[in-house]
Amino acid sequence: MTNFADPDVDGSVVSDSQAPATKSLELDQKDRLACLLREAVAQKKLATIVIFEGAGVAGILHTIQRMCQTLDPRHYYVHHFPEPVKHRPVLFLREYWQKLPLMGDLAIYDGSYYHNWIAAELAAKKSQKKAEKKYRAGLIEEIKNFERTLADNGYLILKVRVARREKDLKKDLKKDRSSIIRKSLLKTRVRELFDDYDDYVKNLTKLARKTDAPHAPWFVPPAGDGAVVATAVFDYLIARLEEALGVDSRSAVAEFDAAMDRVRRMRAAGGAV
Amino acid sequence: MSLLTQLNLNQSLGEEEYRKELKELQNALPAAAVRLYKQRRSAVLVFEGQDAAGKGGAIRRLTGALLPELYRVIPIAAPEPSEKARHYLWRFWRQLPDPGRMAIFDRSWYGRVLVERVEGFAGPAEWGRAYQEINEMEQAFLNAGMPVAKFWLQIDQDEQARRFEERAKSPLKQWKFTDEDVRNRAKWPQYEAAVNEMLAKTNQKDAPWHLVEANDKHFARIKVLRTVLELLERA
Repeated sequence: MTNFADPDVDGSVVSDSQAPATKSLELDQKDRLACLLREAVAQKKLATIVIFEGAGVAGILHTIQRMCQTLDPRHYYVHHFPEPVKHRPVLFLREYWQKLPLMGDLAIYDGSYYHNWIAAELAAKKSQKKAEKKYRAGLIEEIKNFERTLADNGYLILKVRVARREKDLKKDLKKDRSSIIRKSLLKTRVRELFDDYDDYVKNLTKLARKTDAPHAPWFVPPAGDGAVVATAVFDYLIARLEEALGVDSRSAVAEFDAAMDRVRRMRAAGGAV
Repeated sequence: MSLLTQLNLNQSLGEEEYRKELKELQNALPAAAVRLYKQRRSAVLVFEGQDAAGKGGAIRRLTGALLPELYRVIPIAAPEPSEKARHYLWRFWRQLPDPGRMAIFDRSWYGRVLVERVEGFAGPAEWGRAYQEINEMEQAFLNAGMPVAKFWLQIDQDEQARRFEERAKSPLKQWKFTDEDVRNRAKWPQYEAAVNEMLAKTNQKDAPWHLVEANDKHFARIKVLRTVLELLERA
């Protein structure tokens, strides 16, 4: 289940004394993740969906980028979901259904139906029509049903909520805006959040509590810079995948390294591989 | 007494009356479909029934009246490998219509609790929880303002035998008659039990099953078209 006991859940309490993640730790984690994905592909009994939610510039893309560096590109997909629609969607979960991964594969959702729901909630805040409120309440049930049926049918759903302090986010946002490369990547959804940051955090926390379940738990890494977030997320993903696949990733990495060593030695000796 | 055995399969419609009603209904359907299109609302129609029950014929009478850009017919067969490797409802979510359009499923997600159950492609735990999963999916359609109509076309075993014979003899229909039809026919009681359970467990207030007495093709087609028209007009 979630680590909601962690006070960082609403981004209000943040330790500044995070130990910096080391390169060797990160490399070790990446190797283990790659091994676990290979095992999932071989078993073909489990598909993994990792959902990242949180304000933009919170370290999500940084974490995703690091995650993908050693994964087999044939077996993972990153979906950046479009800007949230403010009008009533035709079928709320349709695009998420359509992007379900194959058994064995990994899908990473950068933003999801949680963000869409909150954006609609914030947009409708002023009108508060009864029918609209009822409609959005029904969507929470749809989300819960969706995650339950996926879990029942072989999907591992891991939801990561990245929390950061507002002042840190604003500082990073300012930095991104002045960067020629990153400026173009800033999405409307990032800008929107800062118009209504407190309400956004409140709604995400409320929604996360309502949708936290053993089959689709929320994880909140400690707030910090990108490396700290990535390290905590990697640790969490490794633990959950090991549990689901029944694999010890350290032994799997050691076996893989030994096999690669044998191949290298055979190549050096001029033998067939 | 099961729902299926309560049906009066002897109901029929004379040729003249059929022609007249068909014309009236086919004239009224386009306006109803365009009204839904203007509201940017979609609709989902599901056709289920025994082999040779007349699903295709009923769908053809329906699509014959509609503007081609307003509907899509989705024939459902055994899943492809890429479909088997995902949640069983994935392939249906992919086929849902764009706003304002209509999706007509010739067989559907109900295969999970019918053929997959009877043939053992899905285990008891899998098909057992499918009733709830299907109800939730259809509820999501309704929440999004999409009307749902589900038709079960029922014929009896004698009528099926007669139609199989006709298919086997007709050069135009031979391709439709396969060994699988014969195998399925041998499991009639198992299928009947599965259908009855499906009807009982997935008959929702806003997405009810429409049982169609289909021994007479004319009667069945008119009942289907009238139900669709009522659904579109009410939506």
